[in-house]
Amino acid sequence: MSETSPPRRRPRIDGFAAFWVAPALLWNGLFFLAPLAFLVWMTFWVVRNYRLTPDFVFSNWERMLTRGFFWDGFVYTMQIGAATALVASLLAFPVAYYLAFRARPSARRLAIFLLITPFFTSYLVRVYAWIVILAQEGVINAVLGGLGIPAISMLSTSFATMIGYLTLCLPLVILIQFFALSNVDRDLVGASHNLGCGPVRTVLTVVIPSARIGLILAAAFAFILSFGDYISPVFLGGSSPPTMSILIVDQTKSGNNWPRAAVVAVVMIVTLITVLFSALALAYSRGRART
Amino acid sequence: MAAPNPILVLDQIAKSFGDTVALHPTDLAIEKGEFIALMGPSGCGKTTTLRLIAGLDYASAGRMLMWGADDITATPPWKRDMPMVWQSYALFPFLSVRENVEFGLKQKRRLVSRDRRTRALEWLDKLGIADLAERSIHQLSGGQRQRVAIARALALQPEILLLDEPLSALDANRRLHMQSELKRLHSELGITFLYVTHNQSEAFAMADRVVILSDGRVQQIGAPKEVYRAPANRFVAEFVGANTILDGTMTSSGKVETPMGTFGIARGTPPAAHAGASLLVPADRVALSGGASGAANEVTGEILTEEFTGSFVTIMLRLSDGTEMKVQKQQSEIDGLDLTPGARICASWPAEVGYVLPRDSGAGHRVSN
Amino acid sequence: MTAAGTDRILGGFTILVFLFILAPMVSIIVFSFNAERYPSLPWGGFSLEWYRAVLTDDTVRRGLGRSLRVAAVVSVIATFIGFATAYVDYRFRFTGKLGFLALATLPPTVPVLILGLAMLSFFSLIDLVGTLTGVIAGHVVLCSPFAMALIRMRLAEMSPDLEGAAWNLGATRWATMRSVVLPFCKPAIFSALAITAAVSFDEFMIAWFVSGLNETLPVRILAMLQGQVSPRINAIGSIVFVITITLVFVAQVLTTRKSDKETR
Repeated sequence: MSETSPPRRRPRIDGFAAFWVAPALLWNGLFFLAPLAFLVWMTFWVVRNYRLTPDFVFSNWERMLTRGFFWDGFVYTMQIGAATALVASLLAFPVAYYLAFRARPSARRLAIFLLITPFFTSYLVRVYAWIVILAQEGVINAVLGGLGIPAISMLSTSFATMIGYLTLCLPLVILIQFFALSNVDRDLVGASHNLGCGPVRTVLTVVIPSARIGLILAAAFAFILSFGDYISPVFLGGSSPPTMSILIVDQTKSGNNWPRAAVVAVVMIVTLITVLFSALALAYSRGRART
Repeated sequence: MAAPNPILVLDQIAKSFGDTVALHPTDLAIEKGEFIALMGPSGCGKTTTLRLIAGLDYASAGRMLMWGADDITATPPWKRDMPMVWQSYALFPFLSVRENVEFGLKQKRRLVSRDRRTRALEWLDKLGIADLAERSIHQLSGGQRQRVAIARALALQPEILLLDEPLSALDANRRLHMQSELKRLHSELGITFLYVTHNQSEAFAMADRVVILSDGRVQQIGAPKEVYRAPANRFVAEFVGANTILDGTMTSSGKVETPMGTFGIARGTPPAAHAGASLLVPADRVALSGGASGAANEVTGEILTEEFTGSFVTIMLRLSDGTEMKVQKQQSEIDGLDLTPGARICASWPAEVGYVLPRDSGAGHRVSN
Repeated sequence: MTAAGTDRILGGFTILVFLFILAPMVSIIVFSFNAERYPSLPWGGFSLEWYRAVLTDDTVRRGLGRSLRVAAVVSVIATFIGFATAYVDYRFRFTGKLGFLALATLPPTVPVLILGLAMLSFFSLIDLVGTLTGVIAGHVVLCSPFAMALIRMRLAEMSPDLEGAAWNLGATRWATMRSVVLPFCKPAIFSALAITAAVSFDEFMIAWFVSGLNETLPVRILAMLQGQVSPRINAIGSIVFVITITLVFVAQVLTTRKSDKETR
């Protein structure tokens, strides 16, 4: 198959190699690629007499893209996704910096364990915890009440939605930033201090640019996760205003119009691909001339 | 030339990786039982050749024959019987020492497990590490791992043993020790050793024949002594010998004319008259004196450096045309000479040690008998 | 501001952020023992009532059983596919390799909601909707990249000479896979089994779309969320946390321990 394979009497197909390429190829081809391809195709189908019928029309596209609620949803989802990416990056940075540059190795190991673990535990249950904590009768308001402060209504707000998004993406953002910062050449930092740059200026002018790729990637992931999430906007945000994910579920579960849901989904995919490529281009561009 | 039916023959074997030629078409005949070393600077093609022989890489052209009859050019490595001692040792970290040594035996499936165990322990004993048999390889020192690697290869009792710079990771002391052990094993077992190294003294100490490579081409094949005394070309002369090379022109009277003088020669391949010639002067045959001694082959220069290398001293001189001359003397021979840098000194040598080659004899290949 | 001073501020901030991250899990576990119906202060007293209620609830038990069965099957298949892909990346070079790796590793970057919708539609064509098989198919797609990443990291530690040494000593490529590559990757393989099981166990979106009436536990939880606040969710949540945390802990221990023990 290549120079690195052991030499064989050049057969047409290397059976050994084919055996190991096949699993991912076949499984993801059938259960990942095909469904997504079908999703795009389905946007041109129609629902006739409550049944999904093959067709090739643009009516679904036309219907969704001319609706005010679609674009309102799009704009809102973009806004709150971007806001989450920003807030998550800002909150994560001091933590990632501390873990990469200042913490003791034992503290670092513990911190990484405590970050990886929630990443894998049920997001659903953690959102429920926030519902309860932020509720009118919840823990926070109980404490405020004990201090004589009137209760704050926190649920069904964008604030609560963002809390949910942060619960979803913050561990990942911290981890990615941490890895990026850990790989910053310590000699550069030392040289900067040696030349008289204070710690803050060093961070701004040396550390951040060096870790640029990881920092941008972390923000991109935060955006992708929040942009596509359904649970937080529904259970913490009260579904108002609706995000694109809410539109999809509505069209699927209540409206039973999968083609229209597919339109929203395809618009989301295209948006995410665009954002991801822009982020990568930004991350890997040469940027300003080095001084 | 070669004795009939050598154990392994490379017939116009060549290897390219994409557009890069790693080995130009090469012929080589390896005799049963000989200790043959492939040597040269890094990138010369010696490791490529070894891997082609082992079957780890696929030759781009040519044939490889065992016993003159078996074409093994396309045989996969697991069907060839040429175990290798790797530079990195390549011991299996999840197996104990004994299990490592048994690995090849297990694959061949010719012995039952009890006999495998016995054979493995025998070889560990021969290499002096029988007491480490049940240890994990992480607990071993570099030298001990080396022995496990050797035992693992020899346990298969092959006809050819391949060795890829096995001593390069050892310190100087251990290296010398292992050199003599390998030589001892070779004479005891009587099998063919194919040894790759970039270390000239190592190869010369152990090998019956050496193959010198550069840039993917064989430069010379021969016994160490011959190669040392009669290098086929300039590259070999520079690589194996401590020689000074003086460039000049061949005169019609059979001498070499250089900017430092005209010198007689006794050996080598003289080019035609008036052609470019290179004169090789062995560093250990040069005599030094403070003033001109009037000898026939003499040059003057100034001292550059003086280096102690254990038993002898290496002195570099700069001659009038800028050529650097290398001289090796015993400490006792230079007492009384002024060797401070910049001091003027005269160097002379007897005519019979001068060795001449055509000036541009870089990429040639010459086999001596 | 001294270095020690900034250290303290950064450290304090870090602790606050970690409190934010861990608060939900802690609160769920703590309130699952709260006798008071509503999970808030003041504390109502210690009680195992909710655990009892949840463990005798048939829909919960069936959901849990399905989730465990699905996770078990998914972890085996996903780890196998992940291993195969990691090995291909390690050993082979060929045209189209980049496309192949993209196909194998992109699933986690597509929002689960969209994957769920796509699979629901496509599976309805091939009759997999409402079956656990469909859920398994979808989960494997999501989980195999995790297995691939873990095993690929382990393979990166394998000296490139090891396979060559095995071939040289008489092992065919299949024998080398059996006696060298797999043993070497063992800790990473077990780690991958644990992680993929954890990811599948908690996955709710694809399951919600595809499982239909064959609800897995997270789908049951989702249904309960749409009702009123119920203290039972705390109990279920705690059980789910403990199972997942154990799996993740095992995976982390396996990944770090072996590589500490070995020198090169």
